[in-house]
Amino acid sequence: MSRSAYDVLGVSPDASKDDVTKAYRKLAKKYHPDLNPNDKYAAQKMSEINAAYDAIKNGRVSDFQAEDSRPSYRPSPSDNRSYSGGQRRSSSDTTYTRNDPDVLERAKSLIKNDRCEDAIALLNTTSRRNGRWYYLSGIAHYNIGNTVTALRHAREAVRLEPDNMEFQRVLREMEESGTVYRTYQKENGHIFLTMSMCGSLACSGGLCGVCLYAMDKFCVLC
Amino acid sequence: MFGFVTVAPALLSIEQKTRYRARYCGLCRALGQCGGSSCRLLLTYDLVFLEMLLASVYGLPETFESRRCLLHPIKPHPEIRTDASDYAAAMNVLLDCGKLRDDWQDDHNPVALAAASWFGAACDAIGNRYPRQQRAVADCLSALDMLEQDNETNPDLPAECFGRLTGELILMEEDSPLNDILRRFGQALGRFVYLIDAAADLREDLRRERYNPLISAPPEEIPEWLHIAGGQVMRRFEALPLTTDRNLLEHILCAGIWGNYDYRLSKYAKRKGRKNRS
Repeated sequence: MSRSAYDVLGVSPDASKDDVTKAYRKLAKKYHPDLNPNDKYAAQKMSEINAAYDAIKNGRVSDFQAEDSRPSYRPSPSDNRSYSGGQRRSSSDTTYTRNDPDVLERAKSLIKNDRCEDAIALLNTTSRRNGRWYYLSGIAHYNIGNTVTALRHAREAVRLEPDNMEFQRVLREMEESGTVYRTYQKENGHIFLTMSMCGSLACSGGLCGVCLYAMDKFCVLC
Repeated sequence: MFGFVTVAPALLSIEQKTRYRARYCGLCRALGQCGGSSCRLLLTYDLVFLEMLLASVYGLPETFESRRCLLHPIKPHPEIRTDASDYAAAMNVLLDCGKLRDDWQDDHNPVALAAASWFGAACDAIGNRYPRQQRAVADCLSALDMLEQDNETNPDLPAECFGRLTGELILMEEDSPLNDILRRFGQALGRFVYLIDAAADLREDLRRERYNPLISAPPEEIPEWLHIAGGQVMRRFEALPLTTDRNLLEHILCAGIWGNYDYRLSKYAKRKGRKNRS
């Protein structure tokens, strides 16, 4: 038997947005993998809750299937919102499919000319998404600093066309950025240590009341 | 989000520590001069980083002094002041005041209202001097609020917002040829700080059923996102023409920020442990 997205969150279909969010947070508190380490059931439950919440939020309740236990992330339309104004993709945009190759070509030249925001806006006007679409969108998002979306889209491009060397190269380049940072960390002696360090206001070292009060130890700075 | 961009003192040499503290004390004094001595309570570490960065990028001359203050009445301590100290102090007041007003509007926290009205006059006076920055603080904080109310699950959107704010605050001069690379660095840093702050607070936010942009994110992917965002920051950092303190600045970006992250995680773990025992 298939359950609707509302059943998963335990709210009625006419619940307000706030109620849906509240229900979502309550369930997340119960099932989030961070609070339930090594619990497969909780992890599965959480991804179902995420999918249900996403479906309700983006008005795609009819697409939702509770059985779909989403082993890995799939980009949802909510990733493709315009980043300049935060507007959602309107339904009329979906009629724009017939110029697909043209859109991708134009987006590519926009990216080349360092106009990535325009490229993203253009890409979001089309609803047919193939590997190349995700590839271009990933690059554009990466260039303007949308790390999370960029990585998701680059991975999706590689998933759709696993043999495309160019897609793989771009994904590797993004992952490389993380490696570069870890090298910097090592050079700067960072190890995962717990420092007794007062991150709050008003600590100027020495007789720091905040430090003394908030922690068992003094700041090393003090 | 505040107080994150700081040093991990255990990893610094004595000279570096002294220098960082002297800048900290310099900023504290600048705060007192810019908005009255009560404003010194607002002092945050992030702005020490801003001061140090701007002084280094513009090669500003430093003035050294040794003074006593209320917190250190007996032993005089060194202070480093530059032109950037005054700017960073002004931004400190603007940011904190914006945050306090925001807290009052969101949570109706009476302490925030009292503090906001106490510092309000100083803040408005500074806002008149820096209208662009004041607008950026108001706009970005309200945009963040809206995303929060909408329970936005894509972390890039609020991160972009905070990045935009940082990108504006980092510009000390209105038309400097360096503004473009400084803004890019500021935006990357703002995004990174926003993400790492969200990651550090994730457990606590889950427990208290509060907004966090990373709730729906797969937890195993979060560290990678943070490292890639950090890599973007370092790429932009390398483009800056720094004249002094390169090592210290790099240390803050690569190790200091994480020291604070670890500290926050351990603080929550401790609190949880205490609760379980009782």
